[in-house]
Amino acid sequence: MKSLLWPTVVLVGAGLALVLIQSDPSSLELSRVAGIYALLALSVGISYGQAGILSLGQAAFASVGAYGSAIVTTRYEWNPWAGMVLAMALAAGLAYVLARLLVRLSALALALATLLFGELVHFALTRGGDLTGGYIGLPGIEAPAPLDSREGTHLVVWAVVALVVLIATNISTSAEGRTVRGAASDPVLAGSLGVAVPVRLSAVFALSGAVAGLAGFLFAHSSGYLAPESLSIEMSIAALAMAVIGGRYSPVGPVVGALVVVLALDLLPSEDLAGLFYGLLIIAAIVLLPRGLLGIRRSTPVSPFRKKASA
Amino acid sequence: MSLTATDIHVAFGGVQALDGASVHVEPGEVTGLIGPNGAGKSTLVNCLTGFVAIDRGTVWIDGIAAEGSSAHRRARRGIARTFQTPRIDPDASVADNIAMARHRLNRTRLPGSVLRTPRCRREERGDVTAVHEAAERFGLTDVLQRRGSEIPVWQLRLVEVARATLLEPRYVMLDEPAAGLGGAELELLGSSIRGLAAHGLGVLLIEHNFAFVRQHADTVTVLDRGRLLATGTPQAIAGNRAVVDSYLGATA
Amino acid sequence: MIEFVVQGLALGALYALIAIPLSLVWLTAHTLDLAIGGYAVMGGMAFATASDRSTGLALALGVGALCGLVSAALFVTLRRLGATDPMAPGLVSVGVLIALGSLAQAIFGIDPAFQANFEVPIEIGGVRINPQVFLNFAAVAVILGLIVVVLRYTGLGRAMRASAASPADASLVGIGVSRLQSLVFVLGGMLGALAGALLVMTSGLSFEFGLGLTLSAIGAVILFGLRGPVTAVLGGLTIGVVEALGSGYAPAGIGPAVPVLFVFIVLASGVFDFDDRTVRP
Repeated sequence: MKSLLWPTVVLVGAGLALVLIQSDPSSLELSRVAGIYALLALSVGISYGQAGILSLGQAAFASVGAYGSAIVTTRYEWNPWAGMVLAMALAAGLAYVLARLLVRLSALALALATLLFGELVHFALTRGGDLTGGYIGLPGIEAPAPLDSREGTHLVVWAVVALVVLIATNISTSAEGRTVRGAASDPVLAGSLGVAVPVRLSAVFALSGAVAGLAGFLFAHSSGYLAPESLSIEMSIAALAMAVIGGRYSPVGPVVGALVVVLALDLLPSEDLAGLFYGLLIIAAIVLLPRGLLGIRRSTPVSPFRKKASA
Repeated sequence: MSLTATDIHVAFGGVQALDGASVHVEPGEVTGLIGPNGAGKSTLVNCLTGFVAIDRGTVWIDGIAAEGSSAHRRARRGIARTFQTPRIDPDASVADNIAMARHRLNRTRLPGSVLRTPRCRREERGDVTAVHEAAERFGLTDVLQRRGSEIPVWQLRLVEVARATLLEPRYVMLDEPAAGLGGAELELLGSSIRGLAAHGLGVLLIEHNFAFVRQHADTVTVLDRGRLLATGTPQAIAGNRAVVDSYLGATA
Repeated sequence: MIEFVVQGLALGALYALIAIPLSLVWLTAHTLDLAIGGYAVMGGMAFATASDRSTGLALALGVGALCGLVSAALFVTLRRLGATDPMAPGLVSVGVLIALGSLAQAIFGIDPAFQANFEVPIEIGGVRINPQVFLNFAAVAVILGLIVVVLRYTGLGRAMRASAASPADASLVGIGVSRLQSLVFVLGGMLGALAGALLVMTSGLSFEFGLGLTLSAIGAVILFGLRGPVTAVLGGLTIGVVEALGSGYAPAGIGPAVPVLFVFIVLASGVFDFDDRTVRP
């Protein structure tokens, strides 16, 4: 099973890392942040690498999921795991509607629209009154076991990362992935072959939204608090930079990108400079590494056609 | 049962591209569509396949008016096409390019692909077989692993035809598939087109090479400046005075 | 009502000022320079540090030109590397925008800068007006006039229009296309900085304003179809008025969201797009 290779590597890596850092709270915190960033970067990789939708508002979907779950668990005493389902469904639904509205636009207009969407979500959260807690946000979000311990959080977050890597692998190697990449690259051709282009691309964007919503849920329920700035525009840009740096066409590239970036950010002297760092990062990624660290081109996923050709 | 366009009018920004054009495609037959450059042949194909909105006139798919049906719905109803300028994903392999046409027959969508359901695996195995069969028919087996950007235009035309047939359509519109093809490939294409008709498909063949049309078409429709000029058997068209004057005289 | 409109026009004039270079960048380089709001932040904050207005303005223009030069270098590098689409330079400019915002915070701190020129508003026909409006309008009018004259009547302008139509023709005029494009980016830096300085005098500026300014400028250039500096100015004024009316009449607190929502709707409606996607086969 080739598709299980990378998810297994991620799981084993996370297990080994836990042995090494289990008594070190700051390293565990870093691993939590890196894992959540990896999920966000994976969601960018799925939408940008497969459906060609470059989202500059991915953190907004995480925000929607995080706030959705935080509100129902703190105000209406939902079970946190039901909150998780809600987080993913809300983000996916919103992403689907947004994509259906916007996929007919050119790539640049679409990217700008996602940026504007992110701003609108941010506005809504800061001015949401008692519901969202305004600028202050929501404190006291329940951490269900095993998210109530640093070790448990580490394991859960990275197990989810492994699962999403498996999902991304399955999409990129499947017939549906082939169709979606083709539809993104030439909608006219895809239409002539009976592909309902807006529906197919929006479905992938919805999945990417669900992954972002899940990242938001994990963030909210492992941090215990949530503010409009927790999942900000900088985070959207950072996730994009990570996906581009690692390689957006590779199912595991965004994870590599997230690890590199978060570890580098940890070495930065001041948190105020994070924006400068992310900005320079995305510039460097696009100018120096257009295909990412893993250097993967769009169609490299091993095609089933290879076997028979050599036979 | 037929694909018919009657009295089609289309204008682009003041230019009357089609001004009462008609064509009839019968299952099991090859219909040649000829005419000088700018006669509206490709526009008529775009009208049949739903890529261009019609100002006046009707497209009938098996007796049902196709009004308002989008391009992808018409493809799903069994109308395949190729493009005058071949369209290919330059980054994907030729195999992946051809396999895209299997989307219509497969039922697995995103959820099934994510979960790799048994149906997903079965359908993907079916894709491999189908693509290899189509590649063999059109002499493309050796280039299946090449990227779309790496193969010459004449071969892209064959990729387009192979892809269109993989849609398992009932009608197929071929927009100048023979342009740039040499002797052996031309023969291969001609016999493939006859083979499609023999399988019961209705073929519409746009072509400038009248000898090729005459050899393979059952009926020929001639367009001139957006209007229907003549329609009939290849022999009748070759002897039609108006056609010879306006078009064939210059090329044949 | 009229006071809101006037207030909106004062702000709109500044949006117009940053929309002008945005439209010129599109015309000559076929991309969007999303860092424009960052130039305004850097320029405006630099202006506010100076002891007097003229030093401040010189400082702002210098900082702006420097930022524009960096963007120009990045753009030319990307084109040399073979990025022909508007996307890659657009994304890089988002990186520049984020970096400049963070840099402004690090250099100038988090306190907003506000230095009003006029303590008391004047009254015209019963409407109280801050004279800063006239200053902003004068700035836009002069700059727009100069640019239109340059575009219409000089060799440089002809080269710019030619480079929009076809880069090869522009080379024939004798000016290198990349030099021309770089010039427009630097001009963008300087006009952005000027707008930032004027914003410090109009209603205040803080390091976080970059993205909002960029979004307003984009709204301004696309509102009437990305045709050139004149429509960009009209768009800027419209966005300013919409924003002022939004903060005046929309339910409490959602005023600032109105222009963003407005631009989002313009984009989503599809009436405007950067590249025509409805390509006929």
